[in-house]
Amino acid sequence: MIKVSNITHVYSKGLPDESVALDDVSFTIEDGSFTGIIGHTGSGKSTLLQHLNGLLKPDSGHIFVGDTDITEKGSNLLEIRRKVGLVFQYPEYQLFEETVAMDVAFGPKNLGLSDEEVRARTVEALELVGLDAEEFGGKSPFELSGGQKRRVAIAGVVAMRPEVLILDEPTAGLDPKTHKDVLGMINDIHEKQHNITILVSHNMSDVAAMCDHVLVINKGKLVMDGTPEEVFGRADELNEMGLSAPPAAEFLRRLKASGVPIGRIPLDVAGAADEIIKVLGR
Amino acid sequence: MPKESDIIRADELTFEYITDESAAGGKAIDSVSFTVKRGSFTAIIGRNGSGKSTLAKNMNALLFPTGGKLWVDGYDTSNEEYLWDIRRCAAMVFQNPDNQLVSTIVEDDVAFGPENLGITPGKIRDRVDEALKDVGMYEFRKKAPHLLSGGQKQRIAIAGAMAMHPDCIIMDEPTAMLDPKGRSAVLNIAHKLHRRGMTIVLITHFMEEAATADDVIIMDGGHIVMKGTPEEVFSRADELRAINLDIPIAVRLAEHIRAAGIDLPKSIVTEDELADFILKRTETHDKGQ
Repeated sequence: MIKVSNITHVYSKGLPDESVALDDVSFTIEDGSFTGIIGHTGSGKSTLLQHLNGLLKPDSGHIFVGDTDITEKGSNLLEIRRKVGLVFQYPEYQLFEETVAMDVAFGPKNLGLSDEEVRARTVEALELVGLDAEEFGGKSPFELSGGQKRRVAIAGVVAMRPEVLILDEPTAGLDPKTHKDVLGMINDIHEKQHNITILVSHNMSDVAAMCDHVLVINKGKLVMDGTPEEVFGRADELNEMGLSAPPAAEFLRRLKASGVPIGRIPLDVAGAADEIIKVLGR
Repeated sequence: MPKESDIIRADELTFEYITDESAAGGKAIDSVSFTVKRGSFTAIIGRNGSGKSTLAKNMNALLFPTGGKLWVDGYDTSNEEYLWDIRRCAAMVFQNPDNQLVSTIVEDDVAFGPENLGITPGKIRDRVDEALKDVGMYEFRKKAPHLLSGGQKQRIAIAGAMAMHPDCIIMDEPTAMLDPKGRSAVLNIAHKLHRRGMTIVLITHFMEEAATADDVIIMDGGHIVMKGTPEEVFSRADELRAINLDIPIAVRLAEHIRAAGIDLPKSIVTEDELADFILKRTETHDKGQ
């Protein structure tokens, strides 16, 4: 379980350009949850992610991962990073080793594991991201396609066997097919590892389809915390923040606003189509 | 000489990357023929590796055909003599704005292109101000580009292209790295320039963006597999799925509605069209009651 209580983070404190990036944010994420975080660029969501794996410390407040308070002074950073794996945007830019296997092994090696264990984890992580260890292990990361590179970069974090896997826009810049494949892979990892998965995304359809819990950050504050149905049910408020419900739901809202007697507003295309069929078939 | 009505014309254009492993390279573009009408908004779609970015680079004479011919504004792109005429006619905006902003101040960056065209300083000033106003970034003219958001940086890159006063802007996945707000700002600018008469070639994998174009070209494996109006192309949803492309949301909704036995014209591919159809149907229905 992750428990964030009352964290505040101020950039450039005491300077003229002082800005409050996170303002008294509190929430809980249950074990096994697949949580989505949405908020537009500059909302504070990246600052929040960096707190969750100890890259930044809050000015006040606490973050518990399991029983460990990761905000405590002198907390073991290596231990935090082992528990909480963060996959940054465009993670393939961080690949640096000569071979795929060496790149994936880099994290586990730094944990001080035996060579044998490191090898086993490398193979396991590559299989989890859908790459054959035998075929890809010896290749240079630079021989791979964009989608494959991204998988390798995610494998590097998965090999740490984190209890919490955070992915910041993992499908940015991918074409539709690769987008779908990478999301499927993330779902597989979540099901097999029973970890907490946190997905940061601008794609509301993905958030609605994959997450059981959604957090909305706006101007440094946590403004919504609930199921996808609860959060996207407040689409008017989301629109005011420059966010939206999934496209199918937005389309139904638009019809409703022009006077079409739409009842429910489902979040997926098939559900939305059913509502339209009901209206047209009256 | 009268301007040709086709600003870009490809005749069996082929491009092959030269690689170390002789056979492995293959043809990134394999004998494609098409035209882009002057003043049109043309979208080119395809998955990664389909050849669409290679095609864009050929249109800007960053790459030269290894087979066939490509003409931009009537100039043969394989003739290096015309390099600057081609680039003046067709400016380019790339996917990652960080790769094309060269200066530490926004207005210097926008001035870079016209400076290289040998335009007088006073005229450069006018062009830079005009371009920055057009993309809504005038108030940021003294800022450093690296302090701007992705969407803002991309608007600066477009201003840089516009300051060259091109006839055509080729945009290679300009929204791929942007958030929804940045994406719609860039798309709106593309449409604004188009309404003003500029030819826009938009390379994208967002189908909703392509649905707003005049013409759509779909590429796969270095070939053009479909071309036509958005209506013509998106009504062939099954073929698009077969090459792993997305389908616009309106088309997906329409498929479900049709499957329920409701007669919905195949020509409906945008949300506006679908909404109009539903509104008309429900209004007549209400009157009938």
